Amino acid sequence: MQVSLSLFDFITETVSMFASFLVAFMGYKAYKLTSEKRHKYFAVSFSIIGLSFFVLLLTNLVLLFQTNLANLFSAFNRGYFVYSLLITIGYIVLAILSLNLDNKAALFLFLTVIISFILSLDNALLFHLLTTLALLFVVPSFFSNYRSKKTTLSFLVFISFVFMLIAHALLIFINYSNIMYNISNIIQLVGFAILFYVIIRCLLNARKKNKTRNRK
Amino acid sequence: MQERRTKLEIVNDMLRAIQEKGGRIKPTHLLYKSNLSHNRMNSYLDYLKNKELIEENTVKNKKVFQLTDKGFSFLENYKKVREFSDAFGI
Repeated sequence: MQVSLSLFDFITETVSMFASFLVAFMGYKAYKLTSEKRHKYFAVSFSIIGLSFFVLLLTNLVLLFQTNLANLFSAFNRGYFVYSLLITIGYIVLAILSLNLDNKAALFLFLTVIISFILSLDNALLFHLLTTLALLFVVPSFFSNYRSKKTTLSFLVFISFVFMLIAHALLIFINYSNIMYNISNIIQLVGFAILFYVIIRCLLNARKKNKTRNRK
Repeated sequence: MQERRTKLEIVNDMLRAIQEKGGRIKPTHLLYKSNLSHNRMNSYLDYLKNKELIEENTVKNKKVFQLTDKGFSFLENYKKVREFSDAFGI
């Protein structure tokens, strides 16, 4: 049971990491073409999210081979703290972009969140609350985009973030039920898998349009 | 009423117009295809030349604008970025 759970965690984290880095890469490509700051910050936010999953993957690998109990707890605490801090930063940057905040408001929000996180006595609960709150502001902006564009891909992006929101919201109640962790993991995996699919489709669609144009 | 084009969309439209003419186009044809005023087209042409997306040549004593390798690459990447931007709304 423990091995299969670890394997599932590994799959979730790997898919989430690759999806995030792929989105970040596309955001960076967009920035290189347009020189628009919002593309840069979008790429930065997903790079940080991708990095957070990388840290979590590393932490779980270390835990797998760690035999000393004291070192085990220490490694887990440090790794999980870094993961949760990074992913919170990533989602907050995304929320700032979605809300179109000016520089001062964005900086105020950013610093408030980070300081609260670091000084909090219960990082885990604050982490789940903050990420859920950030995603509550991100999801409507993707819904608005879907409403204006009405494409399959924009709908899938909206749905993927709904899944991420549900996954993080469920973790708020993790102290009451361990099943919440497993369900949350599954939902998160689905969310990031959809995101991964969206990026692949973007690249394939662009290639198809190229071929059609060249035939003319 | 059609939405105003962004700078990037205008650049893409101009480069695509040149691509569709076999990679080389006369100024008057470009003016017609780009749907811009003469002054605006000239300012965009300066931008495209500075970015090395097009180059100005003379063929049979007539001025033409030619797509560079960078220009072709821009068109390739624009489609990917456009799909991505539309999906994510950024």
